[in-house]
Amino acid sequence: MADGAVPRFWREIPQRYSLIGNQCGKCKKIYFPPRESCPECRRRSIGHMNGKKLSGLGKIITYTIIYEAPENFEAYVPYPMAIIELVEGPRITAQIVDCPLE
Amino acid sequence: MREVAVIGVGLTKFGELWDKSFRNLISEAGAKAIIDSGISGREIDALYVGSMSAGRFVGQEHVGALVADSSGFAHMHIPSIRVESADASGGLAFRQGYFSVASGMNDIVVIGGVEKMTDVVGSEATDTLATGLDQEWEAFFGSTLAGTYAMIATRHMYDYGTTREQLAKVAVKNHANGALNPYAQFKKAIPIESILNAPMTAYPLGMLDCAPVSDGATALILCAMEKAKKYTDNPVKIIGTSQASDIFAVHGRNNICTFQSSVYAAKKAYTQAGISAEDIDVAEVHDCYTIAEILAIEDLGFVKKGEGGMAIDNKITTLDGKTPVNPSGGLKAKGHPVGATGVAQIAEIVFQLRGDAEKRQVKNAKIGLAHNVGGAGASCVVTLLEAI
Repeated sequence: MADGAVPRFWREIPQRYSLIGNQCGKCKKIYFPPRESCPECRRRSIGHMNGKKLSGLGKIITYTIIYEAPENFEAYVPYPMAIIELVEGPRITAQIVDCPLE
Repeated sequence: MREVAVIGVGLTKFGELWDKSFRNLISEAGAKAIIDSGISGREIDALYVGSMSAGRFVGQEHVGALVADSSGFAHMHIPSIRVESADASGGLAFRQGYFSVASGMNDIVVIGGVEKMTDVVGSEATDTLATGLDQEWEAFFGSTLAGTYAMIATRHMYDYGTTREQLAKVAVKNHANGALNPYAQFKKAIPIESILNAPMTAYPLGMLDCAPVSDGATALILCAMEKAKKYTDNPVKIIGTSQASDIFAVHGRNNICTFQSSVYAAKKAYTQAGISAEDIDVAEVHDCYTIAEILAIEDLGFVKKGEGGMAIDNKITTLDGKTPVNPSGGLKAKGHPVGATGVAQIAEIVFQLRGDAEKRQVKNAKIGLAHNVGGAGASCVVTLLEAI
């Protein structure tokens, strides 16, 4: 992300700092990031999407090590990225930290 | 809906074209296509232009109108429509233009695709390509387009035993084909060792597993089939066109080793044309990274899921193989000016079906497929063409 105006970073997105997703009150499927409606239950889910704090535990589905980075990350190469499946079901893309590269 | 044909093709060379601007590129391709088609230019009803990110690459939006003017059509007040779907912008522009002729609203339209990528530095290009991903939930954390394809590659290796050597062989094949293509950015065969030993971009993809940053443009003339013979002896008929979507962020998909957008777009196009994957004589697929060509040949049904790597070993996709893939050199060797790519793929299929592909000509090619992917597979356009 190159030169964004302040509000792009400033906008309040709680999910940037904590793993709070939501759950469809109809089929019980859990989403992260939270969705406005459940794509399975569609209109039946509207008004029934409830906040859900996630445990932060999960397993790595796949990974890469980034050597050619976007402008804002050039100082950090090489760094690992992974897709993680949380124990509650949703998958996320995230940087892996506090772990030697090997 | 009436039948539609491609009656003209025009391309610029692809590459680092320091002496040409965005408008020069698309105007050159357009003029060549008009001359190739045999129309005078006054018959044109509309322009459709694919461009992924002129705003970020050259600081220019409103490119439909710009292209109309730079190509000399603003004086005739011809409408011009810019179409965007990341690096599937070109394929989608073609599809929108096709609709306008098939519906009877227009008789003749120009399809353009253009990108000028080398005005920005490398990391800026990396940033812009990543806008085809989910900015808030993939790119924000430091992922790149290459990184996302690399994660798909890692999982493909884990699930199906695909090797780095098999990935590298995709690049070897496409560079060998590109060496035969006068329009290609890299007209040079590359040995497998160079690909395997290249600096890493995103493990397990090295620099030579990735399509380059390129400038270039392509244009096609579409015409209602009933009028095509008036202009040309060798119109190429459009027998299938489809677009499909997949979950936007790759991590949101159940199986990250398949693009459901490719699977569904191919199925719909085959049904429309009344054919199956076995009937394809030649294909241009979206090999923005070597792993992407392996996914494509699986998702399009040329081989079973998981057998893409083996298919490369068995040379099924070489120029004289069962289903030749990327005779142009693909995005890998021909170059990948992102908005132009989808149109350039169709241009190559037209050359192949007209028998105009010279040294890279696939023998007896009658039915061809073009497969154009947006981002990491959230959108896909498949086009089927037939020689008549």
